[in-house]
Amino acid sequence: MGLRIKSIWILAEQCDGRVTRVFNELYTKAREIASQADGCRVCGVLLGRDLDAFAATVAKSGVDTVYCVEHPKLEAYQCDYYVKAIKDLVEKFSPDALWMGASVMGAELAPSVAAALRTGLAAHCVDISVGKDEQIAYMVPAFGGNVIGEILIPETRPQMATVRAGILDAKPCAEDAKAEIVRYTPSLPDEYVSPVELLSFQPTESPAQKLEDADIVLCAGRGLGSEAYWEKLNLLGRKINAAVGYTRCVVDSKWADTECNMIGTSGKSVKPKLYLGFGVSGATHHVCGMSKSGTIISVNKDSNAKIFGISDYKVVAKSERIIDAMLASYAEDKNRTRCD
Amino acid sequence: MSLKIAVCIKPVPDPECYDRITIDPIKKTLVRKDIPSVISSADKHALELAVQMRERHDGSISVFSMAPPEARAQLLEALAFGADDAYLLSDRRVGGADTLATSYALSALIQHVGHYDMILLGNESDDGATAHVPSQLGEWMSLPHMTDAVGVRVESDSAVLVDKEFETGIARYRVQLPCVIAVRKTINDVRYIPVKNFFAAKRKPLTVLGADDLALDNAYIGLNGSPTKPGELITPQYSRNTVPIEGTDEEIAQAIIDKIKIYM
Repeated sequence: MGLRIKSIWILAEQCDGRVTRVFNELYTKAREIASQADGCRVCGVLLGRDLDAFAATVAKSGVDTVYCVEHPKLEAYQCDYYVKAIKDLVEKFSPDALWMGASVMGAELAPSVAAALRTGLAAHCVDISVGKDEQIAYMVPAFGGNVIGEILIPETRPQMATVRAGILDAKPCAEDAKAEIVRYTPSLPDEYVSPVELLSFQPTESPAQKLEDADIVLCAGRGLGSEAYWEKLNLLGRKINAAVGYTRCVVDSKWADTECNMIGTSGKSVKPKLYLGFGVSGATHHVCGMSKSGTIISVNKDSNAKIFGISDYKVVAKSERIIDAMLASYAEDKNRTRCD
Repeated sequence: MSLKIAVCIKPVPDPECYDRITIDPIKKTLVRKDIPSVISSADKHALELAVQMRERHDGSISVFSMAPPEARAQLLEALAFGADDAYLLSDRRVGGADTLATSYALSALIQHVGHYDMILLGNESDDGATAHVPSQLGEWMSLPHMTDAVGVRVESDSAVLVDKEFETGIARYRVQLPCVIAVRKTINDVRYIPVKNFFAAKRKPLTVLGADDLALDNAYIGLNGSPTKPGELITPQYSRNTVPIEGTDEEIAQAIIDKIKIYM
């Protein structure tokens, strides 16, 4: 009988005019699933105003159709307006699946849309595949990633899912791909004034090296010992142009004052070419966020640390001593880096 | 002004023990024996926010949960934390619920008990960590809702200011009351509960309700009301062949630096 699915929609978010990386990751997966069904279309969904340029960008990704949902009230993300607009679009075109990146926006918007549509949503999937009975199986983590559960959404439509950036693989897109553009204006009457009003936006200082894009990621764990060595690790990161991530412990100890570069099931997923961890114990909820790294080097004074089981190289030593030795080495001529 | 605050809490297996959770290979179910239950950590930050707001603005705090009867222990803890009364919906008919059905049942429970100015929750639970319930609760109750709050301040008796943390910065919103807000753990520090609070907690009202006590639509509760269905469970294994790097601190540092050079 085959997989009975006619369309998979993916919400596209912009960042500086470009589509965010998770869209391409979702697109690659959607195409893989769609190829197992007859005539299944993969479509991009954009919300906002003046979407022509962004639509042209998304069209190049390889999607069959781009839905441009335009309205002045959609210019900036506003949950209630976005839910109404997506609900309208879904009720008109009846997609079989609607996927989103689990960005802060997606992680709030997806459950809101799912509730409005009374449909099923699989959160923070680590994989999507065609399971037995020719249904799409969504794999979701639980208990800090120690258990992966299969979620099926047999009856309601669209099936919804969110996936964090950096989990799925993206194939490079053929830049000459073309897509059908469908324009849609949702019904957002003037009389309806949202009970939520955006007052201001305070950008946070963006780190020199974005965690998800970095080839080298340094990771701080509880075993760093003190805030002084957290500072030194950041210094080391600047020296070698590496991004600095951390575990939940570093947030709890208040060395880092935000969760933004926390690596793990409730933080970011990274797969850099090199992951270098200091004082990271290797609890599953962290490992889930970095296990796909190219080369993993771990430094921990506990020879039984779990992290060593998933590391390519292990150093049983106090993190503080190794960081000091590395900084001393970089201070000398022989290891002068491009960043000096 | 006086605030009526509701806080939803979820009892979960203690996260300290998650690395010990296994799957029964024959029954294909979770083995979580000997793992004690605790209040999900983010919910404690919601409770802390509620207590701080009551200290500032006066009012009351009611705690709600949908869970098996053993959850009385976590509700008692919430009362010891500072809640004034607690309500537990415990019934097999609402069991086996996914987030959509859970948030529906919670909405019915809260609305059955009374009107609240603010409903607070942790952003996501320690066990399922979907972060769905706050948004879905807001949708079922037709209330404005917001997740990822790192700051909440009462502006007037009709609105609160909420700071929501996005990847690139913090957005400040004015949200009309009543509303649903989900907090990140970084919003505050959870206070220590003195033992004497537990004795006082036992004298506070804790009501256990069944499905029949609420006007519940069967189509939306339990397994019936859950569009997502669970399938197989696996415990993922991660392992690599590990090579030790040994020597003096300087030798080790140089060995690591040599590897870094490959990727720079």
